[in-house]
Amino acid sequence: MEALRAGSWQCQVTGLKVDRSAERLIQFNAVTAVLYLAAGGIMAILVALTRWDAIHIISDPEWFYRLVGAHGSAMLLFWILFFEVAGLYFGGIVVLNTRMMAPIVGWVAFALMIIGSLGMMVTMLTGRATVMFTAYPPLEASQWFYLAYVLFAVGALFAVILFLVNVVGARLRGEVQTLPLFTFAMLAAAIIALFSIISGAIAIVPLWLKYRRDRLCRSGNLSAALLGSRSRRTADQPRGDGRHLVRAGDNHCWSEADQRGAQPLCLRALHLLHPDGCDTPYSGRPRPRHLGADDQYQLLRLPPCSAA
Amino acid sequence: MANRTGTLVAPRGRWWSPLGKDEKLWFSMAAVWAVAMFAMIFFIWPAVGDRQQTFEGYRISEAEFATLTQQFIEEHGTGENLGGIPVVAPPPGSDVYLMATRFQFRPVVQLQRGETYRFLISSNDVQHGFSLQPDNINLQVIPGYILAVELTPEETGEYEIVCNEYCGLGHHLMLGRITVVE
Repeated sequence: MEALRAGSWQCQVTGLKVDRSAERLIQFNAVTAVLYLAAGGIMAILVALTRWDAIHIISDPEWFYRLVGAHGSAMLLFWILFFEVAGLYFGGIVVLNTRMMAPIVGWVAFALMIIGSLGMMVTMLTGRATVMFTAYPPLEASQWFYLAYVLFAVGALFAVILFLVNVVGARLRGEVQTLPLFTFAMLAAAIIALFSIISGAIAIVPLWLKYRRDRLCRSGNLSAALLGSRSRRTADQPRGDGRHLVRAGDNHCWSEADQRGAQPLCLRALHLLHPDGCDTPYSGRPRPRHLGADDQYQLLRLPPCSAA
Repeated sequence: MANRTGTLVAPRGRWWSPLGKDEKLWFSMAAVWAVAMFAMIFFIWPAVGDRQQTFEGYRISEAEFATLTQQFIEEHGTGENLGGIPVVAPPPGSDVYLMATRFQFRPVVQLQRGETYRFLISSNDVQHGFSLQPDNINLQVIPGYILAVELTPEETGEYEIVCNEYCGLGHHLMLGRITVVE
């Protein structure tokens, strides 16, 4: 039996040499996955007890929708993807009896997935993103929800790519010929994950940029916000350099004087992404997420159907 | 552990030769079932199923559809309203405009039994669902597009339209009504 590599230990049952960095990553991802499963399960119980008319535990419909959305994401995205990542490292490194390449990428992926998933949970549970799974236009969530979504997706993408790199690396080093069935299955799952994560990112990234732009257009504060100064100058207040920011709701981001003036580089970059920028009037109306006093929606209750 | 077999070790030799008897059986059953399902979805049920919806779609601006619905309500309105939503009684064979909007279906429609109507359904804000209960006819309602579907009520009574696509915080209150009379 060949000598153990540094940073690994040998399993007494299977004889496999377990890479310690892979082991730590598997533990962190799997434990996070199970925590999300528990959180999603608790929310599922609350949702089910609300749907049960006799108990109806949550009387506030907004909280009900928040919990449904958070439950769905915890169960369908976070639990599954964290556990899949743990499975990928197990199948791609431990089962192949090989060492882990670039574990740092695994930690970056884990950090991105944690930040992204927590960001999504916070925005959903605080009512900034009660859009459930119809997050696409025109039902609008907070821009932070989309940013968190993108971070989570990029993290998962890193993990999947790291798995592929490790499997291909082991193969190139001649440590594996035909893949064991478990690793083969994880490879198939990784290919599917790659497709779905990339297509999700293609859908969500422009959405995030659009909503960010729209929100700033509405607040009339685009240049200030993009430049990083969280200035609260809104109403026609002179900026001291002869240029005026327009009022919120005027549907233009910056005044004509601003447009003629030197545009900051970041604004020009935004123009490349959205050629119409804010030069064209913003046509969409603000879409409230809450049913507050400001909303123009009428809640009507139809009388029940007469018995047939 | 070189003599172990299982899912965690690499198969010896070529895994597909020879293919086991049970694997051959499993594979042929899966292949036959896949072909059968494909045929059912694309050829058999569209030909013999009586619950297949056939509909057309048209592009329209949200504002234009709202105007058309308002015109339709003014033209055929009975003057009554149900829970604040105007009731219309369109003549048999006519077009019925039905607008889904947060959080109601406008208008309430009164139909005559056995007559065919062409429903033009759209949304003027976000995506909604049209679910006619208890008959369980389900359609997607997308802003910017008209869904044109012909409906012939066969029994009198009151039918509920339920929005079955989450559309915001008042989603659970979004109901519409179709009344069928003799």
